[in-house]
Amino acid sequence: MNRQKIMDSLNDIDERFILEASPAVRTNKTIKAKQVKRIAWAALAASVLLFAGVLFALSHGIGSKDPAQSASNDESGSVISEASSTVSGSEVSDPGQASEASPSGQASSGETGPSGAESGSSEVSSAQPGNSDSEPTETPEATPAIDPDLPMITVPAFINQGMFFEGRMAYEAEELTTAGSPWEMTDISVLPVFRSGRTGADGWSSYALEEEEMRARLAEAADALGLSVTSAETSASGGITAATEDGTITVTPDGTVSYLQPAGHPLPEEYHFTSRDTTPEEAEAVMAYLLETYADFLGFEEPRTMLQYDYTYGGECVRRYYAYDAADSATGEAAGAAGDPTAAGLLNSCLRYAHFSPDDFGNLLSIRLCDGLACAEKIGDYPLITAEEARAAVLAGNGLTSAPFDFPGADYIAKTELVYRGASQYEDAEALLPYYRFYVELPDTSGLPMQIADGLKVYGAWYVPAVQPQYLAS
Amino acid sequence: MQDSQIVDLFWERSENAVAAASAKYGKYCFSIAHHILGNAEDAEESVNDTYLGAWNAIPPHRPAVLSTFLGKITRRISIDRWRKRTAGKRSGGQMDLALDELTDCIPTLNNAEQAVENAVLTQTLNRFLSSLEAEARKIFVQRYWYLLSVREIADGLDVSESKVKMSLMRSRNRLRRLLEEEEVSL
Repeated sequence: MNRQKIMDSLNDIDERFILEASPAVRTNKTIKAKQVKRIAWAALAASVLLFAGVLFALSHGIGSKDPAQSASNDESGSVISEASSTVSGSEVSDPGQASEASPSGQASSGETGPSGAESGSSEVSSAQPGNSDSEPTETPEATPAIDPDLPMITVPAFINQGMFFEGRMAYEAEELTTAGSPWEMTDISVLPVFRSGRTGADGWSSYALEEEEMRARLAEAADALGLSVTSAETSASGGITAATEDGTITVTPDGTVSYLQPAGHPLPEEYHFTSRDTTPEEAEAVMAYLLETYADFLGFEEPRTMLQYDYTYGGECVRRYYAYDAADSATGEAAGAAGDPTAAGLLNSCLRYAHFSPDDFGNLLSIRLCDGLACAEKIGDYPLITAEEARAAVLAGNGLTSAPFDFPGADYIAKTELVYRGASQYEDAEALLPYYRFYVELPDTSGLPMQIADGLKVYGAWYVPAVQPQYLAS
Repeated sequence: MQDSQIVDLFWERSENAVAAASAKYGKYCFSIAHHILGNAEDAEESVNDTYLGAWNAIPPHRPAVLSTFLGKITRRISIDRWRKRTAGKRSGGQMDLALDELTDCIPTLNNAEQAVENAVLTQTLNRFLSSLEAEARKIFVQRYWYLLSVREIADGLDVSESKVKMSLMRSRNRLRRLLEEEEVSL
């Protein structure tokens, strides 16, 4: 039936439209817009009441003896009028957050994090009506310099999907550390920002590799692994999977190359390679072996191992094996923010890394080579805020999170790190930019739908864009 | 748990994969299935079949967006289940209403010589959706992808029901014109 054909074809529409319309999505913007609307209605109601009160007072001659004194003593009136002026300012920022973001009360807020600039403008606008004698020179001094060559960046919205959110689980905060991660609170002051799609000849953005590019990656991978492709097929989602004499190689439109050996590839006996019970020393040893054995496939100039722990809800430890290329040249022109090798390492470890998976018997099951920059275009190198500034922002309630919890407070911050977020985690992934990520212990997880093992702590992820706020459009 | 980690669990053939996917997206998939089927028991079965579908598809697939990957499977399974269940009868749910409304989109000009693949129609739908304003697009997708009722859409977007209805009518007319212009036969 015709209409059912439309219904069927709708199933495969672009994922961005589905995400955009997801009824589960409650972005900060949506929530804020609703709050603003409520505040605006409340302000309107308050104004009407005030107006009625003034009319009543005038008609009954109240306060007519000394209007000036009456106005200065009328606390309720001044509160309402102040609230009204704040509401107009709060259409761009939350006044409650503004006061927290700038405890000093200064209009200067360039140092208070992403929302600082908004907070500052809110305070200035609300201060103007009643404080005409305040020093007007503060604002120009506080305005941060903007490089006109750097476009404004729209921060992708975060998805809030009810009780399900990004986070990690651990028994102790120390376990959140990723051994080998390139960022250890070093002084990175500039990092590149990317547009997640690349502009094609037709002017449209493309978020996927062309088929010939995928086939080239496939051939390159097979060659590096010393395998021959016996057959290849394209899946409905656009990926190409090739069968070889020893496993399959899959290239997906986002540039990921995966080598899968369904039966598992046995490793030499001296190595112990499992998800559950491999010690850190054993993990380091097996990764050294794998990085050497698959060096051609990985193509890393300076391979580095990253080892991570996670836990199942039942409290079982799961080890994850990652590697990345620390070489500055690995990211080509894209990297190198100011030729900083740490910056290149950070970029590669977050967006262009390899993941090794064992099977249940200690064999190598798969190697996945991710390339989060496969279809990305560099926008520019942007100056960053410091970790302390980001911390101030998150404490002021300006962190972005998918966790359905209020920020519990500074004492619960367990870990801070500088990262890029992958495109797939966004509702709208137009920009790939660095963030400070805070793992925050959630003190009360009793409302979560899953059963969590005794003693296992849940840490929600809060993010603050690391790019200086004057370059952020939202 | 991040999506990439859940996908890793599927790749590793870990039994935790389904548990993790269920914990994170179970509610989302159930909501999609329930809107189509209007019955909790059937919806639950569709969601369980979704995990089986994901288990069979990953690997070799590596979905970029896990929520929509699972959501698409749920939607397809639920529509199939609805068809089998109703077999030509009207169930009185959102699916009947949505299908009735989509009749408006069928072009009167029907080129019988042109056999159009579903993929081509999907491309046309993508172009159509790209051409809509963001709000109209959300309304259209919420109605015909998520099968939400007009009232649910209005509540969720904080607009009136009449605005939603008007937006849907305009979008359907626009889609019909586009299908006519491109001589898409259905």
